[in-house]
Amino acid sequence: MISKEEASQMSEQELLERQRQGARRTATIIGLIAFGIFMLTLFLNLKPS
Amino acid sequence: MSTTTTDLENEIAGLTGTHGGHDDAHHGPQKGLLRWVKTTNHKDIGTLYLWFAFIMLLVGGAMAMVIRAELFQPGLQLVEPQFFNQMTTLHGLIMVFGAIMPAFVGLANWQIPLMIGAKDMALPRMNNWSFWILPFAGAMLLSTMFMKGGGPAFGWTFYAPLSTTFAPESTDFFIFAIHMLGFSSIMGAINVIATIMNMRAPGMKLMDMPLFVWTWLITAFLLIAAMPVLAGAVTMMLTDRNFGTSFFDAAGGGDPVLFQHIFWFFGHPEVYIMILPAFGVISQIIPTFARKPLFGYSSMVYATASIALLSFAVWAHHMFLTGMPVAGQMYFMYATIMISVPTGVKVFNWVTTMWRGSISFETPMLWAVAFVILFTIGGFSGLMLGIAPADIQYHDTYFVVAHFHYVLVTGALFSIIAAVFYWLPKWCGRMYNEKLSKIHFWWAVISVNVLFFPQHFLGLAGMPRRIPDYSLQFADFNMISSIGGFAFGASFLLLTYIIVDCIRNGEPVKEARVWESAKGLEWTVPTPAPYHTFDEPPEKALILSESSHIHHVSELAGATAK
Repeated sequence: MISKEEASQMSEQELLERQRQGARRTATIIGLIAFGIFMLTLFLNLKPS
Repeated sequence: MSTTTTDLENEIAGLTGTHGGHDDAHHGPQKGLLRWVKTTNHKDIGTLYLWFAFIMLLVGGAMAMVIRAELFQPGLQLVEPQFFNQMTTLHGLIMVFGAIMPAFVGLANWQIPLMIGAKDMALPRMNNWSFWILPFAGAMLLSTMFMKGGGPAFGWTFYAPLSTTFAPESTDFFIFAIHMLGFSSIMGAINVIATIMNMRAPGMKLMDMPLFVWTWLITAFLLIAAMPVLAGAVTMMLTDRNFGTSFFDAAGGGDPVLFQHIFWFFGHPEVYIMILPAFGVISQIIPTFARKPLFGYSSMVYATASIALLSFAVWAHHMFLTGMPVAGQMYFMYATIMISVPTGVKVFNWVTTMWRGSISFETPMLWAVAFVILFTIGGFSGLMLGIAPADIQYHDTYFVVAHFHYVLVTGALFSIIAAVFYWLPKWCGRMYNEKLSKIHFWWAVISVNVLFFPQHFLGLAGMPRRIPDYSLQFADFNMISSIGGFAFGASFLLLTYIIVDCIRNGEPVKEARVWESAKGLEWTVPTPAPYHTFDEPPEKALILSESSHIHHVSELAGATAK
């Protein structure tokens, strides 16, 4: 999250770009976690034949 | 409007003057049907989610009418048992995945950006995609009814081997629909988390956020943790059915009980996915109409987080009869009962917020108060079911049906209706018919109790769930329950009229703050909410003064100084 001090020194455009950059990073991390949980569910249920 | 850029990109392009030499950041929506197909605007997508959920609610409700009509009298009257089973299965799946969950995502889309002072959701294009997956998944699920062998008839919990070895061919389409619905939910959750973590107005701390935003943030994490487990379960079903694996087939070394563990590891958090946003809605409405700040804001946040964490540690209370060791039963029983502590904190805080408030009972408040009372009844019957020795009696009876309908209908659904009445004037700039809405409220609230309360007695007397016929001793309560069901179903026709009448002919509302004591950034934007909001992020002082949990002017001054 951007502090009000930081934001006050940014233009509206810079603020939006910074927010969206952070959003993309968050989305990537959360998406990878979700995929990891899916793979873990399958992996934990596999038995060696 | 460019069809290949999002509203936020338009906004940036407009600011830099690179978008065809003109600033089109403040235009309205595109005209025609394509507006809804291509939109990346959070308000449009919220509206789409809400209408989709409402249509699915009517479809799922029609199936409930078939179920109640068949159960009106003992004996087989209207439908074949196999079709009855399809109805119970699809009713559950459609209500959970098609109605309640999308309705809350719709509310999140409309409200979260408005409540945190953001221009839009963080990932608008993904937002569009996560909605437009839904109608196709819903249509695929419904289409299974018309396939060879009929639709899924194994209950919404789709236990193996009913859903693997003995299921109709259409089950593969059901699996694909569940995959798509899950994918849509995960994308929606990613968007909510990314928006709340990154797009809050500068200076808005997490503990400055309204309760609805908090409950949705926690719900989104629950979705991220629970939905991939469901995806894993249906993937294993798919390979068991089509690729010769034996995850759930005892004949091949697998274990059908394993399916129940995996399903409920998803399924119990899923219950909280459907109820935590409801807690958020109620925490917004009660302070407005009690004209008091929310009591115990921080305890509400911690209680929500505690409920979410505990929800992953109690799944096997759905499986007390599968032959688990006594130590396991004891653990799951105590862990389940422990959830009543944070839930009790919430109910206490709502009641205390109302205590000595200047309460007025406009329609949203009526629904909110009904929620508090009736959800608590559902919570109490949940406690009874959580006690292992008692559950051995109640398991798979109508007592369970009564319990989860009190939680999901008078809980989740009532909160959604409360939210729609609360925010609809802000969304469309028109006021609903208060008199008709109150008639509808009393009609629905009386009939829903006539529908579900007798089911407790049926369950205690031993009537099993998911049966189209029953013994004669259950006849009277079933007839009463069915009459309540038809009346409750009919109340939705009136609700449809009230909503459509409000949108088309309602009295125009001009005040930004539609409810005089409402607090929150959404009430600082004009009414109806413009297509684009918060071009300028709100100031910290405004954020704090619009907080529904700051009590005194001195506290506000102290918070601003920090």
